[in-house]
Amino acid sequence: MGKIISIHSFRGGTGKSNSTANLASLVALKGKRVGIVDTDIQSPGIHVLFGLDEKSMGHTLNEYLRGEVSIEQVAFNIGEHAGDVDMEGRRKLAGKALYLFPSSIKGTEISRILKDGYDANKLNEGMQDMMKALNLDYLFIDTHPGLNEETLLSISISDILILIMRPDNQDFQGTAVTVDIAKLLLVDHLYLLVNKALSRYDLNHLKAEIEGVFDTSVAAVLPLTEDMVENASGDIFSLAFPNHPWSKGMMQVADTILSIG
Amino acid sequence: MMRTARPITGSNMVQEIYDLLKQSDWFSNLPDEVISLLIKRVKQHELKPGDKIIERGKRDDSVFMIQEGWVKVVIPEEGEDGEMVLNHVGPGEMVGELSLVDQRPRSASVIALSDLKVLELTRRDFLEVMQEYPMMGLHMLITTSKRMRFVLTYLEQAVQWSHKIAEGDYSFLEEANNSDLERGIVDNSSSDTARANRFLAAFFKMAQDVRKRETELQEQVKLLIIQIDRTKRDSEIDSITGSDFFTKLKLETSQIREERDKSKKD
Ligand SMILES: Nc1ncnc2c1ncn2[C@@H]1O[C@H](COP(=O)(O)OP(=O)(O)OP(=O)(O)O)[C@@H](O)[C@H]1O
Ligand SMILES: [Mg+2]
Repeated sequence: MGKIISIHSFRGGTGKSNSTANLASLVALKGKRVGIVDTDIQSPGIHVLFGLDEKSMGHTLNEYLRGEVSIEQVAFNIGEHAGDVDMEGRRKLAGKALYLFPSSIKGTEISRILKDGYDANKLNEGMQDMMKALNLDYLFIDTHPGLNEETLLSISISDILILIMRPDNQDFQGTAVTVDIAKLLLVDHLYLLVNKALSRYDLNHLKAEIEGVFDTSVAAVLPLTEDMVENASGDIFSLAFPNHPWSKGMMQVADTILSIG
Repeated sequence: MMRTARPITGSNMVQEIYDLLKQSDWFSNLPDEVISLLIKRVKQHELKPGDKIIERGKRDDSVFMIQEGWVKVVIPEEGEDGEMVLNHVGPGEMVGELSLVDQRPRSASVIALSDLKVLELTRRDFLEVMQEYPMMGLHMLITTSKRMRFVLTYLEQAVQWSHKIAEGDYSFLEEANNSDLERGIVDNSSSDTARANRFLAAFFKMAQDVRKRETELQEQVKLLIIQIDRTKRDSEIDSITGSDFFTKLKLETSQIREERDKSKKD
């Protein structure tokens, strides 16, 4: 049975979409069958990192959930299209089993789904169906920030939850709440991922302090890097720059995920 | 760069140079006849502030003695207009003696700070005088050794401090015999001791800055962590877990997890 991995953060802009795209790609490179649920196609999300736009993606998960199309019709096969792209990183995904499931669980649509009695069981069944249909080992969900009902749903059905935070006070408070909620929802494997850490901090020290205060293991502390800003969502960073410290940290997180039996 | 170069002539000028050489470290112990030989061979240059006497990297091998005015010894910083000032040198002191001896490219640039008179002795002239009076070499060796020993004492101190800094031990910053350094009291004269003390003072200042930065960093990291308001957190958690939605979610979630565990065992 495949595993559901949610990538979440209390506040926006922490690097969820970038982390999801990189982790999913790294795990797919190891020969695993991987899916990504893109929860947001209105604003720039994860599909951009794979060089896709709304048109090229075709059908959405919502159409599938309404019974209009099959799950295979929704899945966009990234590995099949990666061979002829000019991005150095993405090209490495050629032939890998990596699928993107675009959806638009947003705004009025989400409230409608909730009102119609869309619940954890149904969402879980939907995800399990997706994994079965494509025989996936891992399904990554790039969530929205915050703690609304939609994110609580995706946290609750996760096997693994990765909570991203920046090392600043504004992120600490909300992350502390999220950690406790995740524990109440009995998530089996909970990790913090610290992103955008300033180089003036001692990263190992920071890791130990955060693990102590949140009583949760920190999968990695990733540096704030200008190179990332220059990349401007054009490629999968860790595949394009495998020797960069940010990429090395990401690989550590991917190894942690792979080691969970 | 060198605006004028003239031999030493006239009894006033000869006397002046004689006095200068007799006071310098390098030549003070030499007999008068050698000093006269030197005076015949040196050339005097006059320079303006900003003029370059020696340029780092160049392969020339004269030695210069400052007669009047001051120069700075600098290492230009790459790609920028900046420079690192190694030393200020004034009347009676030598610059460029390293290249005279080892003929390697100039290790630093020397630039006039004021109107300047310097005396130039080429390596060729120097060797010729030495042929006639080999003891001059020995005198030079003695002077250089004295300096070297002096420099080594100070370097040893700095090296000892560096080891302590590397171990995170800053206790030397508090030691009583360093209290002048601590208060930044420096002697601006051009004696070797004053110069070496300035070097130690710069090192001391650096160590103080390093310690300050380290303390600040530790504080910053701590500050970041401490500020979780636990009361606020608990009330936020209560407001989420108190909703019907959450109660239902928690129930469903435990069912889902039970089923997953079951299917794992199957
Ligand atoms: N370590 C880093 N150093 C510098 N920039 C980074 C780093 N990580 C992410 N970024 C940049 O931060 C921005 C936000 O990243 P991303 O879109 O992945 O975050 P997000 O959490 O998905 O945001 P949102 O909440 O809006 O969905 C992007 O411009 C990304 O390039
Ligand atoms: Mg995003």
